[in-house]
Amino acid sequence: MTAVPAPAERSTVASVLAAVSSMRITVVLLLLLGVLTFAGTLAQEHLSPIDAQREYFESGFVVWDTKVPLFGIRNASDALTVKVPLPGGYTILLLLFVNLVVGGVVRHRWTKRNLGILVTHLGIGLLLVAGFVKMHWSHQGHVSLFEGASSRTMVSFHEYELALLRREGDDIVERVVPATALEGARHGTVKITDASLPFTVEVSGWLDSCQPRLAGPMMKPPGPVATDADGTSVFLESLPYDKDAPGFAGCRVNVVERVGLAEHSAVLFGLGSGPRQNPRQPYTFTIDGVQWGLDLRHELRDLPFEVKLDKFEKTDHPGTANPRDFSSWVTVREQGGEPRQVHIYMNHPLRSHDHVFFQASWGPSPQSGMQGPPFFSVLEVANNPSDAWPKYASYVVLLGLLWHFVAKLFRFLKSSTNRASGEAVS
Amino acid sequence: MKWLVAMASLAGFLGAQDDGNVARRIVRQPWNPAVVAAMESLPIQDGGRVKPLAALAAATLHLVHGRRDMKLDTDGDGRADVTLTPTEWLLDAWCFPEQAADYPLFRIENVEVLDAIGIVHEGGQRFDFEYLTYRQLGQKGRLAEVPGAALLRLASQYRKKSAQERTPVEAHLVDTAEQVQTYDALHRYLVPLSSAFQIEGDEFQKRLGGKKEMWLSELMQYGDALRTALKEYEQKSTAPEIGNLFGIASDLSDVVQSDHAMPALFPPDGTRAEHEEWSGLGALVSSGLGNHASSTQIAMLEQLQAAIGATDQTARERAFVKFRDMVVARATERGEFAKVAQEAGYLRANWAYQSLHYFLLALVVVAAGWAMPRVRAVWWAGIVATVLPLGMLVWDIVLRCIIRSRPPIVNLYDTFLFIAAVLVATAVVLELISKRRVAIALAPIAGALLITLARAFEVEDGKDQMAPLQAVLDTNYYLATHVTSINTGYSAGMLASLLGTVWLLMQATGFRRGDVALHKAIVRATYGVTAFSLTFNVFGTIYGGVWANDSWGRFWGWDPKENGALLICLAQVALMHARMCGWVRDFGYCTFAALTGIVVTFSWFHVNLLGIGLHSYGFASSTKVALFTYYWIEAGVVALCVAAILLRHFVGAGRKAAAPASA
Repeated sequence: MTAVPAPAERSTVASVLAAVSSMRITVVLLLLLGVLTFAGTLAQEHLSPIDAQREYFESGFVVWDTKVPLFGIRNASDALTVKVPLPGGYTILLLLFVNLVVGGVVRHRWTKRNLGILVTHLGIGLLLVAGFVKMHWSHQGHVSLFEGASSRTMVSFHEYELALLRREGDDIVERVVPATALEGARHGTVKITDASLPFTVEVSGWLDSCQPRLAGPMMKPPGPVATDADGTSVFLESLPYDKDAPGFAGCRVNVVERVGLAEHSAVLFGLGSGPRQNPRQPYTFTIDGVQWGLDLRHELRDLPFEVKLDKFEKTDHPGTANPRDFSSWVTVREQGGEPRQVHIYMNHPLRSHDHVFFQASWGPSPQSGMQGPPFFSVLEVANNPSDAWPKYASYVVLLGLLWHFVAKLFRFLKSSTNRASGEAVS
Repeated sequence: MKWLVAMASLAGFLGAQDDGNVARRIVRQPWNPAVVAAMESLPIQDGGRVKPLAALAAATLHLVHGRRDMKLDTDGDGRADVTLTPTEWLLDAWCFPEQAADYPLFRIENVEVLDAIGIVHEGGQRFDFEYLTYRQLGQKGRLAEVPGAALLRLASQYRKKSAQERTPVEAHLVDTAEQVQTYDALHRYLVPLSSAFQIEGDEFQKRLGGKKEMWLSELMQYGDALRTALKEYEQKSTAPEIGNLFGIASDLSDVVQSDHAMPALFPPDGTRAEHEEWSGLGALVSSGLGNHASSTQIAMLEQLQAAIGATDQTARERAFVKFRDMVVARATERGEFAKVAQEAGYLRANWAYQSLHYFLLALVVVAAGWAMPRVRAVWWAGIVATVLPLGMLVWDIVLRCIIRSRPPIVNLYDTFLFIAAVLVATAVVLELISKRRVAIALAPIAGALLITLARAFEVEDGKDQMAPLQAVLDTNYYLATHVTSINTGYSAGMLASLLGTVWLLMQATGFRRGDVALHKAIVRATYGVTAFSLTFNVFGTIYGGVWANDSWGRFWGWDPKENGALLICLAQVALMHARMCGWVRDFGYCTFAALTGIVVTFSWFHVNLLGIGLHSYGFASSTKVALFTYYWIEAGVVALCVAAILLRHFVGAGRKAAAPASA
């Protein structure tokens, strides 16, 4: 009796690869992403777009908690409450990318017949990589200027920073703490300390959207209170999301002197930094004759060149207040380079040094009573290393899909013709 | 001041004392059709563009009346015997405001709205609509205040709530108030031209050349005299010798401020580059009082005044035609009339509506093809009968492109026409390939349905469907690439859904069960159309991101519209992968393809209703009701078919299992 050889067992690596590249996993991930996208879309009815994006699409895990209207009726009593745990967008897209690379490219048979699919997968892969790069290494903000004004910094839309200021004669020296370092201040206290500082800053009660209120006998503060030297107590009131009036972040700071342990407390409120805002007034305190300041502000980033607004023009459709076009003529001054004039208008951005400037909006001066000129121009700025990749990805995907489906159509038509001629012969 | 009295009685709801239940018989003078045709192409500037009067009349009637025409019962028998076109209705409102106040205008769909504003009604919820007249709003109702005043008060109160928070009755009240205010402003607009101003007081008459009455076009040329008199008598406003000087000054001030959201009727001198904005009545009176109105514009005003103020219909019509000819001549010199004439012709021809009839005819021919499957000529007749209305629909789209100098899709209304055309064209091509008479049967049904929906949406929306674009959309390149691509994907997605549904229905009902080739052909067609749709959806979605990257500074922002497009891509890619890995076969594939129609509809339309994101528009609730109706019908049909198919499968399997035992 001869022994029957045992079937060759697949190696662990091969098994893992087979599992990871499974097309069934692809289907599950696609459906999960579909459910998550649906949930994230509905969530934007009560969350700001940026919050929905962070909670649903940039997270590892999310609980979809929403009321789904039945029959289109919005009354709460007619809505179905849904609470579903879901993997977040980051998790799903990461798994999808691995599945795509392993199953759709590496393990896929590189035949002429499959070429269209492979090209499509490469295009989708490029798109996912572009999204990953953008999420981790891009910055967005704006430069808002009146005619004649110039700037070398962009102001972030959503990110904040805490600036520690110190007056040295006529100069002000800055040290900056990014908001990411203050995450713990949402539910506790974050201490900022340094050997060179004569004090410690304790940050607490961080709120993403809030407004300052005066505390008093009729207004019981829900969170930390800062009391001024004259006895005025201020606290921050959390605001629900309002798409027409997006709120500003705020926190309470307590400065504890290293010597003597004297305390200075205040609430900081991160107002915007557009040209319509009044000059910034940081919270200031003096220790040993040195004036210090704390300023919660939208994050500032240096630009690789200076931008000066030479002219801004807004035209309306005749007889209406609906803008037909708005555009900015700017002068770009690079270090050591010749200044150059650039026209930025809707759908025609300026691209230079990995930065893209878009004509985003405009606003009237405070003096014009929110109506007529002079206007300031809002140029949105994006610093995204993967800026152009999606465009190339779209061409690659289109090429792949057309290749695959047109080839398939021709094969089908050919087989139909052969079948028909075969039937005719028989 | 006859016109002031008219304004007070019609617009000032508070002065009314009549009994609201007394129906007034409508007596109206018909318009000469040739004059109406001429006035339809009268160029006006409204909403940021120069367009024919017919376009303004149609959009306004859609908004305030919820219909495309106005039906009147002039003989009092309770049935409509006269139908007014939008232009006839608008001319009536401008020339005969007293008469137009008795037209059944404002559609009320819920008796609770009538109760809320105190209108007396028969009681009980009706199944049809009730139309209120403008006069009824100013007559005494069941409440202390007249219904019009109650309506405006309540609407102002409910506007403070967000659209999502309003109950259906509150939303209805807000909408009705908007309709009433729109109509009120429009029909009062030309009232100052309907009669002469009476000049009272010896000194006042002396300063105005000794005249005792004066028409607006004449009065506005006495700006200096009026200003001097007002200054001199500033402290003696009740002096008898200046009579109604201050009253007339106040009236003129009202006229000057009456232009807001009203059409500008008087083209300016000079070229378009020099002066793009036309003058409304208020602007013209203002420049007349300041002694810088152009003589051409004053001449136009005199003709319009002669038309509005005429007591004889023939004289009125003659003056209207003269006014129209003057405006057309000026607009032609400025290079603004050619497109107005094209648009007037487009509105008159109404190719999309014409194609609707031919699609229905095509359906009959295609049905004949099913009855006579062996007659090839009938099959070809079905193809030709479908291609004919398709050509009309395409011509409609082409005309819209020419008039606007834009790609086919600029707004949501365009999407209906485009999707209908692409869907029908795809179905015809599919039929020519497959020759199974299924795709060609779907084509006229889908075409007719989508055009009907387009017409319903146009009325529901109540807006100018050729309005100028907002700045960010002003790019023909991306409108031509991203927008047409994604809508091609939508249309093919809808066709795939229809084909999947047909396959399920055939399986569930056992229709042509023995014809395996037919069933297989439908599955193949569903697959092919899904692939076609996917190609355009994926490219369109990614290219939409490329556009967003150029205009908003980010490729992807998880905006609801972007998410909707992504959902279609995900659904279709998941479907194809599920088929490739063997998770679904014909049954599963067609079931999910059918349900993909819901995803397509959600992306195409529903995301715009959420009122969030950069693509939000906002619609009346009936659009939402229509969407949910479709969702439930599609899901219900699929569920019933799936249940029937599974039942048939298990019963059949049981019988097969039982057969050997009994044998």
